[in-house]
Amino acid sequence: MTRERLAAVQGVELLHEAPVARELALRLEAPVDRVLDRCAERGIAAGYPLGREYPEYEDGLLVAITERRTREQIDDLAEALGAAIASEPGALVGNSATNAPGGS
Amino acid sequence: MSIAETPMQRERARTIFEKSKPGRRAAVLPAAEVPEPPLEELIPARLLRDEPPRLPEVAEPEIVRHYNRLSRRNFDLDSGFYPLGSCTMKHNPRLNERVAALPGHARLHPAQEPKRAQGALELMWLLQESLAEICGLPHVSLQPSAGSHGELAGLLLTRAFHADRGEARTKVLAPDTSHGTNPASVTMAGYEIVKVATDERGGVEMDDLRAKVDDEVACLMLTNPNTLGLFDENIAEIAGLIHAAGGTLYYDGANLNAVMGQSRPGDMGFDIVHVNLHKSFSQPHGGGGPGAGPIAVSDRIEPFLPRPQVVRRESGNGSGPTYDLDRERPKSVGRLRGFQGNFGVFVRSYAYILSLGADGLAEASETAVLNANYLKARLAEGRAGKYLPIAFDRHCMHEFVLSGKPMKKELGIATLDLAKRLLDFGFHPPTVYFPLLVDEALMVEPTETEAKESLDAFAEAIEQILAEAEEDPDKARQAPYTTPVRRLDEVKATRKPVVRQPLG
Repeated sequence: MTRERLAAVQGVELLHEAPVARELALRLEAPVDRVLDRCAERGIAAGYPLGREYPEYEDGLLVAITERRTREQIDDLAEALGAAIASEPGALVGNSATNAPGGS
Repeated sequence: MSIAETPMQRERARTIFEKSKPGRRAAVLPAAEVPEPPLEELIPARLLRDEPPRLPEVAEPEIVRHYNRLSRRNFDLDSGFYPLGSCTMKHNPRLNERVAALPGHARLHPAQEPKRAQGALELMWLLQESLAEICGLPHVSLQPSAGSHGELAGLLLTRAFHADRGEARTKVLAPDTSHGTNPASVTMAGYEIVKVATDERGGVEMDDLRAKVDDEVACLMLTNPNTLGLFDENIAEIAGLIHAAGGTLYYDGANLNAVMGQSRPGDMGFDIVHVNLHKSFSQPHGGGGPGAGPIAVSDRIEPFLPRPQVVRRESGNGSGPTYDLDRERPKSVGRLRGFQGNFGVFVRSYAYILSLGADGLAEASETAVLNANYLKARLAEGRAGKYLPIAFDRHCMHEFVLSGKPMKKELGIATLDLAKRLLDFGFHPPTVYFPLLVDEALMVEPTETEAKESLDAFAEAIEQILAEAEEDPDKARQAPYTTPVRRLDEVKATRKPVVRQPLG
């Protein structure tokens, strides 16, 4: 459910279509580190930046949702991700599936 | 001899699987707040298992009782005196547990960005600085997670140090009294172990050392005080010999509890030291962890330290320092484990260091040495003095080694029998049959946290066991009588351990 909810956020898409069990990989249309910073300001540790281990997924974010998270918290995460991406100047939200270079 | 079973012996310990009843639950999750589609819609059927896993189904009160009951079948430091030589089973202050359990410490994710883990990194950096001062060596890595892990790290650093100078040395020296992990780590690191003999005073046999030092020697591993509890008086000369031959000097810090604030391995000439935080710096231990074996090193070894390294960076703009993980270390031996180490261990040890302070740590070591010498003197009296003589008769440091050879010859009971009988008196036995060069060895380390009454009671128990052995040696030979299980087949337990739970 989290997967559908987050994939519906503008500027977020799934990194792959394979089935997932307890965590999922997203692609963000804004710099991942900046999005994480903005989410952290709202008290949300949104996920793990995949670029730290996989240079080919510089725009990747790994999100884990456990049984301890409520629907409200998942909604908050979706809202925070959307707001963070929208506030990034380089984000081409709702425009294209490709990730344009920031600031262009 | 007919022996009445105790209630705990009668009760066969059952595993949590044997207590399982279908349908029992410890917790019921709230109903999902979103529609729940069939599992096959989320995960393809071919990836799903055919049957649910056979997990134990037990209600919470039974789970609590199960594990509480198991804990009471163990002997532990909170139950009684635990003078296990070379293990430093000192009291673990409860304050440290409270500090380690603070949510910011206990619930921090290990993959959190350094900028959002500044408090944790600052604590680690301060612990590094404290250990550097205690060891007398300027650089510390907290990565190794056990004493033996620190040893392996030290040997990898030694190899990197020599390789950097274009040398490939092959041998590592260690005294024949060394901890068993020393030769094991040497072999694991791909070096050849060369043992150095012990002299009549219990120190390194200097002529033997001189004969074995050459330009093939990469390192000498030493613990000082050694496993006989004796401080090697020739340490300055030993260090000079090894350094002159181009080798490194490694200090096994397992016995650091004897010398905190008294003498520093760095001042003795050591290049690399590991510190068993779980021994000297108060940590619940035994049973395999978690622990920590940080290493402190000299300037010439520093470039090779594991990465990442916790570093402090001055901001330069007046906003105070920040802390970071330095991954850019081109000569580093690399990573020794996942994440940064057992963080809760760091918190407890740092809390311990802060609460004692420099004076308190020095006093702890003084008291550890005093307690060991008091108990040694008590055990030189009466039957213990006759049947269990001290192996090397001089003032000891934090521990001492007795020999049960006369006891075995004259009373017909072995050190193992005495150790088992001690359990009936409510004491954990000392380390037995180590170090190997002492026949029927008993290695006693009382630590600084034991009261005089505990030490006296232990000495009196040994006296009583020896007195009863004069009348009836079988009593010790069949001991223990009161433990949850009696004498076990230790060889079979090692060779053919039963680790599988058969499910009906």
